Amino acid sequence: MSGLAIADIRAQFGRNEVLRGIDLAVAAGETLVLFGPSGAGKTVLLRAIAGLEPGATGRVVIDGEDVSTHGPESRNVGMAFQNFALYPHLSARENIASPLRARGVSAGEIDARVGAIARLLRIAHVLSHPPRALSNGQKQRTALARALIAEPRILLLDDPLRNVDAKLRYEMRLELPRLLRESNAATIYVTQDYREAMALGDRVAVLQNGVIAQCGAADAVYDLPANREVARLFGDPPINLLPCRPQAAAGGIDIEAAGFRLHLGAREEATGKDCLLGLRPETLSLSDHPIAGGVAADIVAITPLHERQVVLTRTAAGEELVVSVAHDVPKAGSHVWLLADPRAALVFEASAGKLIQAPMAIRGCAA
Amino acid sequence: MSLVLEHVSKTYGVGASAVHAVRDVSLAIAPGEIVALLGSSGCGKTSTLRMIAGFERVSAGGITLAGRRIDTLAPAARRVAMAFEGYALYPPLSVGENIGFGLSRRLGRTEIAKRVREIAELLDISDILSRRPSGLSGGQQQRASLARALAREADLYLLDEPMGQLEPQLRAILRGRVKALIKARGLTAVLVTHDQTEANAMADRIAVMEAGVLQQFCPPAQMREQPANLFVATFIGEPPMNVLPLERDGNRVLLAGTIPLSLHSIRLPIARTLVLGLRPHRIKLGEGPLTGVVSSNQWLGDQAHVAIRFADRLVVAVSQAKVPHAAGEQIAFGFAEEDAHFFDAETGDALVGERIPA
Amino acid sequence: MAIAKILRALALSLVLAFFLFPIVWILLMSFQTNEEILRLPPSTFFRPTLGNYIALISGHLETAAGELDITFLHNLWNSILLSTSSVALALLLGVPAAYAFARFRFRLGEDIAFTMLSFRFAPPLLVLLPLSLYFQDLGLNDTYLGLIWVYQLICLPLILWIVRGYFEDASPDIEYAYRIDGHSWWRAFTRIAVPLAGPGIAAAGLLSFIFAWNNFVFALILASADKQPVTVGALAFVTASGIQYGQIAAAIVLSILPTLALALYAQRWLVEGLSLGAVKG
Repeated sequence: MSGLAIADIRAQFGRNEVLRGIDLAVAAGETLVLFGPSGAGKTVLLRAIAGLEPGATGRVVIDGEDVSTHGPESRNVGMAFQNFALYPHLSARENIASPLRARGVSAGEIDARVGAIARLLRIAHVLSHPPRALSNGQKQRTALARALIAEPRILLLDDPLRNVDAKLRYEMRLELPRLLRESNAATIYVTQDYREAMALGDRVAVLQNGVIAQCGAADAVYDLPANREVARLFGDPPINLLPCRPQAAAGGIDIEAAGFRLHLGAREEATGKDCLLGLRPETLSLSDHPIAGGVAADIVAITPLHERQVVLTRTAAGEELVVSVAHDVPKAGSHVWLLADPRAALVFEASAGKLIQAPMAIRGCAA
Repeated sequence: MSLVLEHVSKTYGVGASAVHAVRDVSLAIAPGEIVALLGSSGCGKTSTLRMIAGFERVSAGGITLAGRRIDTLAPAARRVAMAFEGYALYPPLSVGENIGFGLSRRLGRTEIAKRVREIAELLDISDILSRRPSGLSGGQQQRASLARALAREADLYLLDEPMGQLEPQLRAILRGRVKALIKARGLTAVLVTHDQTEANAMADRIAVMEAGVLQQFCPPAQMREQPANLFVATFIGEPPMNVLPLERDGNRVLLAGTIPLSLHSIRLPIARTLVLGLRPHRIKLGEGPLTGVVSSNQWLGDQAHVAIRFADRLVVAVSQAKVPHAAGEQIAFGFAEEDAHFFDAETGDALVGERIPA
Repeated sequence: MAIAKILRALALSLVLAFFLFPIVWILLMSFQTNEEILRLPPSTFFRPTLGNYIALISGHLETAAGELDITFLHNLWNSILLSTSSVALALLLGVPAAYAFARFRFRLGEDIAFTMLSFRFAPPLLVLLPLSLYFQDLGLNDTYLGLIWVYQLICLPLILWIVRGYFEDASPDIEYAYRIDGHSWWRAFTRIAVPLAGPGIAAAGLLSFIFAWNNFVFALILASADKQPVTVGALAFVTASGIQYGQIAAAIVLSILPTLALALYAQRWLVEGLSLGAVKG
């Protein structure tokens, strides 16, 4: 198979098991986003794939060839680092040329290829500058050019947009998918930003406590997060979680939480257990007049986000709920009514945090 | 309390090597208002903040707080509470002691403890009150620093990047709680930030600075609807405003060199090179006189971002619903006349076309 | 404003005078005869003479009490040879070791590194007696090789600890990136790690050169006259018939010249932070 397959990658620092058996397969031309909270081991996994983590065990197979015992210089991977990791004593041109120099490419060809990729990434005018004379955006593009120039089979991008400003991050979010597709490498892209994950990932793998908690299409992760933590991390503003104890009802369960009364189909296993009802802020609707089934609440504050109104409300019972709507809302202090959409409601076990979900199973990402 | 900056300037160095960090900034902040000083690094917002706090002298101009001229006073005499970007918590004190540190002893021990408890609860740090700052995460330290500033009694609250390190999962709720607290107590707050989402979320009015100059000072909605110039227009808004060049052909205005723009209600000034600004959220997809090829279509859970290749540029449109067009497909799009922004291509100033009565 | 400026200038002059006084004083002494130096009451005016320098260079001194043969130039040569070779050897051994301590965690790593540092704490006299016995057995007594070896006690810990800090400051990601580009471990070390730690290596080298140059007690015990550096050689001016202050001053001036020149030359290097802008920011 062309692409990357890793099997049973494990890494341990002292008594701390950082990676506890990771299996993933990424096809050539595909972008897999590796998502997870900080400290989840995302960077360690990338390093293990690149051959930079001597303590890691497991198999790394690139285009069908087992490279587990190869050094990083002979795996033919390209990598971009969160802190750019440019060579400070070399010009941008020499930074980009480095992988070609290692491969003994002729000087003429190096010039041509560096020029071409620099034009593509719009850094041709700064090639003679040392890294310290570059803006953060230019540094990031230089690092990306260096990762791409030798046409590696595997591209490992470690949160490359973290240290650039919002505008450039947005531009790159639009440009990167095409660039990555055209490179035809199997790409693993690390990020903590769920929007980036959704924008760039053909698939998303969520790394949590050293294992892949969930792997699938980005909107599947968003719609059906495997557990409470994934649900909280994947979405902004984050999901509302309300304690509840579902009761058995015809064809499903009845849930009463923070004044909401919802009937959900299937999911009978939740009956009688301590659970959390998950309501994404954008699935709640808000009205300034009483509505059937609506929960009365007061608006505590309105904090707009991305052309939407993020409304912090407090129900009569004192429960805080975040609502995100695209329309105008009454001012802070007003009395409103909230309505939940049972089709978008999620139920999690309170203790383990696992999603209780009947209709669709959550799949893994191994080969 | 009201804060007034009158013709405030800050110059570092002298002569040819002088750096004008802040140039003639005047702004008046009403009591009980939350104002965000927004700009990228080096725009002068931090120098302005430091002049208000008293860590830096004004080179020219004056600062008045609650009717008192404060720019010549020592920082301690200004009655200003501040949350520092680098937290600046006292390492040997616990979080609780840090928060209580700025409170007047006259309040008495029980009252201080009560206030510390209240603000800690609001910022979700009740469980770490007895811990030292060194063992805490960046987000926890930032919340402690914010709590220390807000617990104090002051005429003005200066918050320097107060929420940048907060855990994303807490941000929405904490932003809401802090905003509600500031409003409920009627505090006057100046928030310094480079993050427009934070400015947007928190502020009643935003002051955008660039190159030491105050570009625009108005409520966030107005800044989106009526940006003063091209800089503000493209700086504010996420994703940023689309900018397309316009050409003139006699009385007609041409978009992308060929498509005549028929404007019914606006008459644009003649003999200027113009650019058209379109907010991504205001572009209508699937209908309209323009067509382009979808370059990418990204669904972000609660909104779709569609990049359309049009006249050799990428036009970004945002839709609250999923858009069915895949990359490579043709898509029609358009915009309402009142959503179009026009700018002078040379000066960047916004042009308010003469409205023709309907 | 004007008053503040004047006060600042005054304060700076005072500090400068305080620190430069010994050097200026010695410089002045080196141009005086012993008689002038010892005159009571001392006089600030004197007729400058090059006699001290001429005596040092010609190796022959005539005093009121008699003639004295001086091996100063040979001592100077010994100093240069010993210090340069010691620093070169210490760099050769210390830089890779510092890299290993900075980049790899291995068993007893910290203990070994600390032991190396503790050599700087131990009073040299403590080890000198056994050392001189061993050296006599090994035939290393009164050899350049033996002295260079012992000088590693001075140079190696300094280089190890200073350079290690510089290696630790540079992000390992930069070397990782170079490895991933397809370069071998050795090239990543020589082309990336060492140049990035360059200012640190220069500083450590210079510092250990000065310490080696100024060392007195090792050479005093372990070397005879013809292997002795200037520090020990200066003892020759303490003669039975008196102390030759003029020559000592001239010898000091000559012997600090190499280190002074080196420090001035390396200064611009030391302050230039090569790693600025390497990573984010």
